[in-house]
Amino acid sequence: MDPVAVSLIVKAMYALGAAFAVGFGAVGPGIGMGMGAATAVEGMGRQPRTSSDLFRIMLIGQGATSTPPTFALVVGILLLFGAGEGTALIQGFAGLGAGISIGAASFASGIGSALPAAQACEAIARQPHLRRPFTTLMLIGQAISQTPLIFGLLVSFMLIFSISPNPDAGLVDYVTVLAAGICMGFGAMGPSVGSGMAAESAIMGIRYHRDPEQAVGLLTRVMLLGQAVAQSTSIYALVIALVMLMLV
Amino acid sequence: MDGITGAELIRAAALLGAGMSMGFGAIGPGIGEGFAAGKACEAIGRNPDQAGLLTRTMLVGQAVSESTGIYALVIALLLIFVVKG
Repeated sequence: MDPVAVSLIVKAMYALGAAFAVGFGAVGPGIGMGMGAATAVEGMGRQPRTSSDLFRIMLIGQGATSTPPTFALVVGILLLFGAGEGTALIQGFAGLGAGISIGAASFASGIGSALPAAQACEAIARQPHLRRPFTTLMLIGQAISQTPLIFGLLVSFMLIFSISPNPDAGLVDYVTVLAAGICMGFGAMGPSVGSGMAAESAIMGIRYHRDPEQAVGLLTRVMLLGQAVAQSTSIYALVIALVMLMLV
Repeated sequence: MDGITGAELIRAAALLGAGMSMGFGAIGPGIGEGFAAGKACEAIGRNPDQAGLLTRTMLVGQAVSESTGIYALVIALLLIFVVKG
């Protein structure tokens, strides 16, 4: 293949990667932010007096939920405009892998961070005086739920910027960079959603407790312990993805 | 593309398989362990006196759930380092 054709193919593969990153990565957060709005509206319908608190917590929760698609957008724009001219076919595969990595991670992190946000809206509508612990627990849960997203972003950046444009790279190298993106992207999905579910139920646990103020510390500890175990598989995926990147 | 040998094809398939093994294999344990953690928090909220028992049971359950993630990790490492084509 002559050099012009290679740069065009790389550009096309970057475009595919960008489309996957934003197209797939926006689905989860979009659904998730809607879930937050739905529970907030439900709560306002039942308890119009709490509407200002609910409006605030809805916006905070949705703001944190919009981090994943923002990262996906950053990777998409980088692929389209910031990654430069491709000189070897392997860069195209790496760009596609980067899009899959951040796209899948963003899909799941959006759902994972929306679960505690929706539950916090529900909880504040029912027990408005506990809005501080609910907000704190929601934000901690969302932060943990977005850890795999950071891993996905890291692998995306490594795929875009640290793959050497080796024109002699063969089929094995092409597949390796693609598989690293698939591994990290899909590997981030389970832990994100799982950590979000843990945070959601921790907020519910405070609501059920007979002395909610006392329960916050205990439940935060148990939630963090459970989330740490749930995160282990995303760390396995990160290790495998990094091992693959070292092989190229 | 020309010049792809059978060994290269097997190596490429093994690496793609490794990525898919760990990627998809991580979904189940992640969701399952988070679900267990959430239910433990809920149960501790209802019955805080049993927090120790519930936390222990949660950890044992998560460890069992983790096993499939470790299978995926082992298979991925085998595919990367052992299958040479």
